[in-house]
Amino acid sequence: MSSGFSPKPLDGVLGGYLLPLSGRVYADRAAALREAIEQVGPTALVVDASELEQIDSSGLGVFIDLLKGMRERGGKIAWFGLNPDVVRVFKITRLDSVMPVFDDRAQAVAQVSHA
Amino acid sequence: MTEAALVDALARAALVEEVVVLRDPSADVLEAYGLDDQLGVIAWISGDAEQRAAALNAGALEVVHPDMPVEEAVARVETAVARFRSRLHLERAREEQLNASEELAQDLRLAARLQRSLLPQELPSAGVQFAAFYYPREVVSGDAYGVQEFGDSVVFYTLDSVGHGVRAALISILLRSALQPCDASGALRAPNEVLADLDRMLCGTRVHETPTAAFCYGVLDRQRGILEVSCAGHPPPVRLRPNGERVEIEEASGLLLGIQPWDYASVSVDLEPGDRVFFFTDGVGIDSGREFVEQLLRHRDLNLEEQVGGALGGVIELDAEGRPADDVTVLAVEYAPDRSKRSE
Repeated sequence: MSSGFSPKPLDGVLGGYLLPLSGRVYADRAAALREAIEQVGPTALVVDASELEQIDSSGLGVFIDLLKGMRERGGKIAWFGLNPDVVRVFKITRLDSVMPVFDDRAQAVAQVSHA
Repeated sequence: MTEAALVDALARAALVEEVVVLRDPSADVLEAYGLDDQLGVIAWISGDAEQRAAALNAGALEVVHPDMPVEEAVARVETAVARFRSRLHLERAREEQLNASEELAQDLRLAARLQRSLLPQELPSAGVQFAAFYYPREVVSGDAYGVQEFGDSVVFYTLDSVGHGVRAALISILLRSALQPCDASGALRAPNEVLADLDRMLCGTRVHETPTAAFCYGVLDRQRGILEVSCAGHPPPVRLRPNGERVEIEEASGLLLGIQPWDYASVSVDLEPGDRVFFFTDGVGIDSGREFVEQLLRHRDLNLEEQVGGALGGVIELDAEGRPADDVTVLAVEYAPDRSKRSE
């Protein structure tokens, strides 16, 4: 994958996808990220941030747009594996209150599975 | 294929606006046509190979002659015309693009001047001291700050629209113009109410890419030394005491503006003379300002402006073009009641 973003179907969650992020997700990769997500059109999304170094407001903007669209259809986004710098960004922006953050994958999957 | 086909091909070529067909042109004639690079020449040479070569050297696009099989001559003429037109088309498109990008660049420079003109031209100096630093990454910026005096109080803010460039700049101008520090009676409103209004406005916009922004808003009563603050998705302001004590005003933090209606909180801080409070956008570093605050502490013996300048110097890396990786804005205020010369 040249864009570096490849959402994979999430077993047992209808319309659910797992999206691994890696490196730094800044403005220069935001368009590719948006396209990769829009192509699959998830109704639930679990973001694996265990390889993510940092994400800026342009990268987060992609998830905010997605969240707004998904919520109208009852969809959810959950994150897991965030490093302390990324956790701090979620705390400062309070995005953890609209996209919950978990320690491990199972908790994140459970969160998006509940309708 | 008969000779008539070649005559047809040459006639069609001659009809093309940018192409002329010449029969046995002299070197002078070819040279004259060669001066116009928007015009191509197809030459029919009845003479020998030397004359054909001379015509090509003089700049003819293609040379055809009676000894050439008709099919080949037709193909050569058509190919030469097609290639020439395609080259011209490409050159013209490039030129138009260059003109368009120059126009766009001029528009952007104008937008940047307008945006800068919206920033405070002077900072209040009675009872307080301010220092402001503003480094956009691109020509226009999603960051902005403002300072305005209302009697004994000063209202100030920093904001950072999500994203970069023109889109973010438009959101920041929209927010600035929608800002309402006072109620209908002219009294200053609580910071959390001001932010809630901006949040509702952004939440109400119906566009595909959600306009979202971080905002930190403060009202300082210069007489009493009371600072009220509310933030939306913005790095918490930091208060530094003259003795080196630091306090992050975290309780004032709410959700980024524009995501969903949010119940923002205002926090009240009693300032002592000499206390400094720093508002800064996340462009000061990917660690959301931790190192920046360390640097502020390291430079705390300097005056306010030098302190911020020194701290920024320690955290901001510029690229080869001298630009920071993200828009950077810092607005610092020192509570300095002894500077007040206007009351009593």
